[in-house]
Amino acid sequence: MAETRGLKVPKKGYRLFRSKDWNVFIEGLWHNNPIFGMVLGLCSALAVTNLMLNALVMSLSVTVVLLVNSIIISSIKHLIPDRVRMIAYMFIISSLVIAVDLVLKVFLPDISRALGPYVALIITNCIIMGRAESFAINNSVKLAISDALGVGMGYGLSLMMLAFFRELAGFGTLFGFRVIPETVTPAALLSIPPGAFFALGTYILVITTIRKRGAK
Amino acid sequence: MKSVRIILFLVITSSLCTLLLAGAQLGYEKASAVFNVRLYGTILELFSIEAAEDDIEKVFLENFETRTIGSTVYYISKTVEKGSVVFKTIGAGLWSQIELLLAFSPDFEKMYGLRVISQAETPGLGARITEMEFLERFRGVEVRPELKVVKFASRPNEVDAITGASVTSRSVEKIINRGVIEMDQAFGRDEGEE
Repeated sequence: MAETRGLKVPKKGYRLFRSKDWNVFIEGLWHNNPIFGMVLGLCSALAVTNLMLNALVMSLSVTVVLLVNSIIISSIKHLIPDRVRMIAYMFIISSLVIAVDLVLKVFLPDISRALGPYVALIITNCIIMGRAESFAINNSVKLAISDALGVGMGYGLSLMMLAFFRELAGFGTLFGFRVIPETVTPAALLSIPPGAFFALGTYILVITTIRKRGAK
Repeated sequence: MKSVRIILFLVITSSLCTLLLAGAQLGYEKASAVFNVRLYGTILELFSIEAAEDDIEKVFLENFETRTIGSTVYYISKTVEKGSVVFKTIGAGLWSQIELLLAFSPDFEKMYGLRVISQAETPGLGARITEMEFLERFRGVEVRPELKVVKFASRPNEVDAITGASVTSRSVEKIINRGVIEMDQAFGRDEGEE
């Protein structure tokens, strides 16, 4: 039980908040958040956060792959030989990602085109491999689901947050709907890749400050 | 014994994954028939043939003949501008690939029309090649000896380029001219004089 060992479960409060699943979920959402906690999977976070719609589809894709992968890995963990566990993850992750990519191509062709290679690159996204290796392989299916949902939603919320500011400032729109009138010059810097670095850096700085405050 | 177990495990996992992917691919191929319908719709629109959303495929097959030569699929009109040839072609743009739908008159001398299927050019500059105003400039333009996209079109084989998007304009010109050569070879037509 590698990761649940350090887990603090409160003794008081509602039953839900005292349950292990809930705390694993929160752990993934906040302390182990892939973007500002573990600082993993940044490549896709930088690339797809120029528009909120792209960020939403990308986070859903990652969450689905993460969830299904965690369920599979945690349920066959006793079958996987220790020496080839990485290869086993790769097999499963790549099959899932290719399937998700095809689904997007068929049902959301425009967004699939906008996301370009980044959906296929979920295969090499460290978040999924990381959660499989550090959590799913050691824990029960139930806990693995909580963890995958927490980390997936943590990734998604971070992406949406970044995309919110980048789309609002860069294009003056949210989900394609105009919020700031067209007469205002948009800060195009935020919509281009270098702007993503500034936005992400600021975001991590702000969240880290809040977390430090909370820890005191 | 341990290595046997490992090999067995890997063989089983990879077979299962292969099966899953084969299934996904089959489903994808079925679903991509939808893309064909979208292409048919664009071609019908180019030839100003009316068709209801649900009959696009039927109307298209009534009006066009499909012929595959080499790796390209050519659609040949059976009604409007009888003998016109339409096909899809792809080439390099400024940032990404540009996919064009080219239509040529029955004598292969003029363009019948042009549509952009996909592109990722600079928004506001190169991406303006998708605007009808630009696309309609290609109606009836001569492609012999070759088509030219220039600043001020004055000859029958010239088209006005987009200001501020010279690379994209030149890419479109190049893709069309290469398309003409491909079409000539496919239909066994001698190359134009000069």
